[in-house]
Amino acid sequence: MTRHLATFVIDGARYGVDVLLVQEALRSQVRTPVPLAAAGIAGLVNLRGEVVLSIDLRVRLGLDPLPVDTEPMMVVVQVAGEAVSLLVDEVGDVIDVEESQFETPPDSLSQELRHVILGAYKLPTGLLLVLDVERATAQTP
Amino acid sequence: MDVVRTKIEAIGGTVDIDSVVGRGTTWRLRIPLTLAIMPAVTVVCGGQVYAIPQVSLLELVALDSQAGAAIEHVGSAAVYRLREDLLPLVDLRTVFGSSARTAQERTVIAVLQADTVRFGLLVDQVLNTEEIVVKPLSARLKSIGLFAGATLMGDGRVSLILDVQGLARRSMAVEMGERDRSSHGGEAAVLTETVQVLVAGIGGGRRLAIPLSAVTRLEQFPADVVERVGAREVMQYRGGITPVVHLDEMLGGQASGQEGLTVVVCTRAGRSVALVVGEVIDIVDDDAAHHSDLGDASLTGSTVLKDRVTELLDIRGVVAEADPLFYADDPAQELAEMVGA
Repeated sequence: MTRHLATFVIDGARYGVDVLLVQEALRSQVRTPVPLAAAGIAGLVNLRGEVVLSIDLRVRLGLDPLPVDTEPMMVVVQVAGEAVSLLVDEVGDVIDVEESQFETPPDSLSQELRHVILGAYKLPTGLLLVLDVERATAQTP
Repeated sequence: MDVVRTKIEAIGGTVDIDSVVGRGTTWRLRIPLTLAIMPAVTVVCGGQVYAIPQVSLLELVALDSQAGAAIEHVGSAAVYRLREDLLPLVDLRTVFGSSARTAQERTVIAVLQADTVRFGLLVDQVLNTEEIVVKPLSARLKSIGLFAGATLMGDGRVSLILDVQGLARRSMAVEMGERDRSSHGGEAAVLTETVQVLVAGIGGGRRLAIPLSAVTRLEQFPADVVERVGAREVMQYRGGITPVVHLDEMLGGQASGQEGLTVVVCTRAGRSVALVVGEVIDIVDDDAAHHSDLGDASLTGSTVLKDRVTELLDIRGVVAEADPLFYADDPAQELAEMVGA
């Protein structure tokens, strides 16, 4: 069975999410910061008249948060009927992967990351990590 | 265009097209003036723009930099002497945990009313008043409890709408509790009733207050929608015939002579009455204790709202005159009784 994954790059690693969840990918927009919001919430953007929350996945992935002035790309995904924009370094292709290439994360992965990274596809060009978008964008990990 | 029409009709508006071959096309999008559009004041704090709902705002006090001494302290709590009353101050920067305010910086106190408490919110700058469209906030941000929603500014940026009640709860928990306790004592006797009223202009600078609870919709129509049934003026509204009352003429004011009609629609159990006013000005809290019984025909009295004498409309009387069966629980039965009598 093949799956279609939309891919993007964060801090050198390639991640994929189910392409059906992705609404669009676009350049960075002006973000309005939200005071007192949880770590990882990068602000609100105006997406053609809708107010959309943008989330810095780096925090959820245990990396340092993005500096405020960088202009990352945005991947807009649908989570629980709501559009959420994910900040990523680079947007990649939509690729087809075989179920046979999939492997669950190694036991050495921390419990926190195990929650958001479902596993990896072993592609010839390197590993493609699969994200659980719902958990990755949830308020508490 | 089908999408535009569907979207506009979904919010109760219409799309009209006039097209002449070789001349051009006129598109008219009519969008109802709903109460989801909110008058607000935009303020700046820490470089970001926030919106404060106008209904919560009592007044603005500008502090110039020399007057830094005007802010005094009771223990650790900052206060300001506003006409000999001590006004507790909440600094929006402190609430948001951003860098502290230096004495030289420009500061404005927005005096806000939240439920029972009055407090001053310190902000950096006040921009202007705007009509804003309230956009819902992501569920992930509601738990912060300080934002009532978001809105889009003219330049396309997103601004957060401050939840004044939430701010008061967060910053003044102790004070609200104490106020509640003391109100069980002597203050209980002077408990007053406030209702929200719609303030409308009816020409000649006169202002009229209509209880917001009686208002169903605010609409704009061209003047030619008014037709006649006998001596009465009526219009077609939502598939029915609705009596039209020109409040400005009825109350002895000048007819506005405007091209369009600004209409306050009252609807109850499927029956509507359209009240024509000159313009819709504001929605404010009206304190019944300040009412004067100085009135006139079709008025229940008068009061002072926002420093202007405002006439209080006898909404029940006016509506009942336009449609005697408006307040009937069973129009068919009452009509039979009236005819029989």
